[in-house]
Amino acid sequence: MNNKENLKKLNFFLKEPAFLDLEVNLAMQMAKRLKKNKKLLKNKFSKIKLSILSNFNIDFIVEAINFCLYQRGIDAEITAPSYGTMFTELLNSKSNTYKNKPNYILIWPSHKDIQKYNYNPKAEVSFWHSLWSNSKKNNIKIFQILFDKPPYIHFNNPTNIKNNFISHINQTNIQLEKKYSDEVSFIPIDQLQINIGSKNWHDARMYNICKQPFSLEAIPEISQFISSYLAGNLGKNKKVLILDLDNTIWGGEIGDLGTEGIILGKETSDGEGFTNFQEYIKELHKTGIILCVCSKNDEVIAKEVFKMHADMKIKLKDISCFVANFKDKASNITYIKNFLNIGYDSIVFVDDSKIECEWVRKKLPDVTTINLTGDPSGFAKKIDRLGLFLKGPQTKEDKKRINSYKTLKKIEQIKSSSNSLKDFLKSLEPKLFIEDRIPYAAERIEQLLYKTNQFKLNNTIFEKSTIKENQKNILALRFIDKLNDYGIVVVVLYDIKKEVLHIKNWVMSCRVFSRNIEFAVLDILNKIAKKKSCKKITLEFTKSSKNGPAETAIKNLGFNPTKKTSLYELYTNNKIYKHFITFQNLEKVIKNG
Amino acid sequence: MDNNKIILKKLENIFHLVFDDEQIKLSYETTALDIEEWDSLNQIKIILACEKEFLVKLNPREINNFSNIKEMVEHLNALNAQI
Repeated sequence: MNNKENLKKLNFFLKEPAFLDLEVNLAMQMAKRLKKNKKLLKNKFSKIKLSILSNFNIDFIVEAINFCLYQRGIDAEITAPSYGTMFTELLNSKSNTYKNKPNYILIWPSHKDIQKYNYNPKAEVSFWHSLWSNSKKNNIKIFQILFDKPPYIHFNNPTNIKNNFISHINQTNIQLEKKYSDEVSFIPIDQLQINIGSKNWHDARMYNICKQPFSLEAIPEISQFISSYLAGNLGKNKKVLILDLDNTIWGGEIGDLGTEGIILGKETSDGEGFTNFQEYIKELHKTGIILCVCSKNDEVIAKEVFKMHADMKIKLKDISCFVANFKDKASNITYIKNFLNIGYDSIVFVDDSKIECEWVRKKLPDVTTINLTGDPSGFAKKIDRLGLFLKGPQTKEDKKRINSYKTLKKIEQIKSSSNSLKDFLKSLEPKLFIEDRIPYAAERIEQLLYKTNQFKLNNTIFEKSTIKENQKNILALRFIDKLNDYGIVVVVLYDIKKEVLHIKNWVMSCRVFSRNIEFAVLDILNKIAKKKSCKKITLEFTKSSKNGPAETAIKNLGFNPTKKTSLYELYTNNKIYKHFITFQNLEKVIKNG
Repeated sequence: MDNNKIILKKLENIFHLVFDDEQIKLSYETTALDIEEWDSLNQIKIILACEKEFLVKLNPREINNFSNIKEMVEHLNALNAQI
């Protein structure tokens, strides 16, 4: 096989969402192939430096994690120190790990690394906390995998607390999460340990041969699990689930059988299966995942089921975009993508039809397509194990996001009947509230800086600690109108030196595009600049494959390029920007800033 | 084909997978020095793949002492490798 064929096969497997189901030798072969050929693939993915620290041998799994992260759009340079040096690498501020300057550190202890301290969880937690200080000093984001349980059933005696190793592990895990979830992202390993099973998780023979505690067979599933958590935290979590209807969320074709005839409900085993699947989808929706429908059916007939069938767990109001017609599904998914203003790589599409899935995979390779076939009782787990929707700690802002997409739907309906777009937008009475409690909003601000792709000037980001330290140089704006409170949607990082207001970075959430907010933001920056006697405003713009909207905006706002390639400038002026947006809390912020 | 030849062919396929290289040709005289990436990690992958393919249990310490592929093939045959 020549190299062209090799790359073709590699690309095929890169698009396979169920890496965890691949035979382990094939999985490792593809991981190796990716490592050798990464540069040839020329993908403009987010590049990160990740250091994985453990006291056991992770050489095999590092290659697999590299592959899984790449599947999620992350080009990771992963380093692992010499075997058995987890503690010294963390405690020594001059270790190779820190010299290497990683962006992220993943600490992967096993139950063998527990210090015990006479089964005192408080002391245990304190010890692990001390391992993070060097990373915190260097602004390195820390992930830590929580402790697993040993394979023995004899040391879990609830009546004998003194000699209770399991209880100590449980308490340590609980207290770590309770106290330090805002400093470290913890990865809970319980469900993974359960799914893998003790045989694979505790492979004593494997440990004796090469100091890897789990079996070789377990590598694909473990690496996909861990990579899903990392990817979710880096903003690569999937945000939208597009559902086919017939034989996906109910049994049978609604066009033929009618609402009374489809299979759904507790009376039959398949009906139970589809009901459980709908309940799983509903729970996913509650965590912030946007639901859409893409079905080859008459729209009225399809919606009838949602309105009339007593066993439907998913309601019409849960669906942000309902598409039912006889066009091809790739076109319909493109319509949904544009309606929601997101990337194809944020979408998961599920359908029972092999042909529909093949078509969408061919036309829209960046969409994650899952073909659900056979017994519906297995559908939920099939999707769940892939970890596609896992994300970082959820904030209040995430819940608001679903509501704002439903509002977009209302806007679409209203738009068609209003005379002009300007009048319509004005009638919504848009307001921008300038947030002055920056530490309170630090988590949301950090999240926006990390996750935004389209309206983002460059890759400068601030961690929560930096945000708190630089409050006076951060503009965080909350957008509210008659229909909705969108939460904080704009963040500007800036500083003022020698009569120049320099924008270090400016991000805006895609859910508020086409509201002219960028004009309002410039209006605010002009006011700040004038107060501080600045003669001009500059910004740093680096083009990426996704930030076209930012580039268009800065040109529309009148920024001009300078001799320095990435620097743009605009002289402060008295221009009046027609954006119909009123400001709240502005005087207070300008006065104190 | 006698057992040894079949075992050699299957072993060659295992090498193709482990090293991701279809160009590798194994003969009885092949040693670890002949294949560039043959290190201790890949050795472990080869051993585990053999156990899976031939349904045998191998002792890594024994395997590490073999000087060439011939000794490995004969060892697998002696263990009644399933082919």
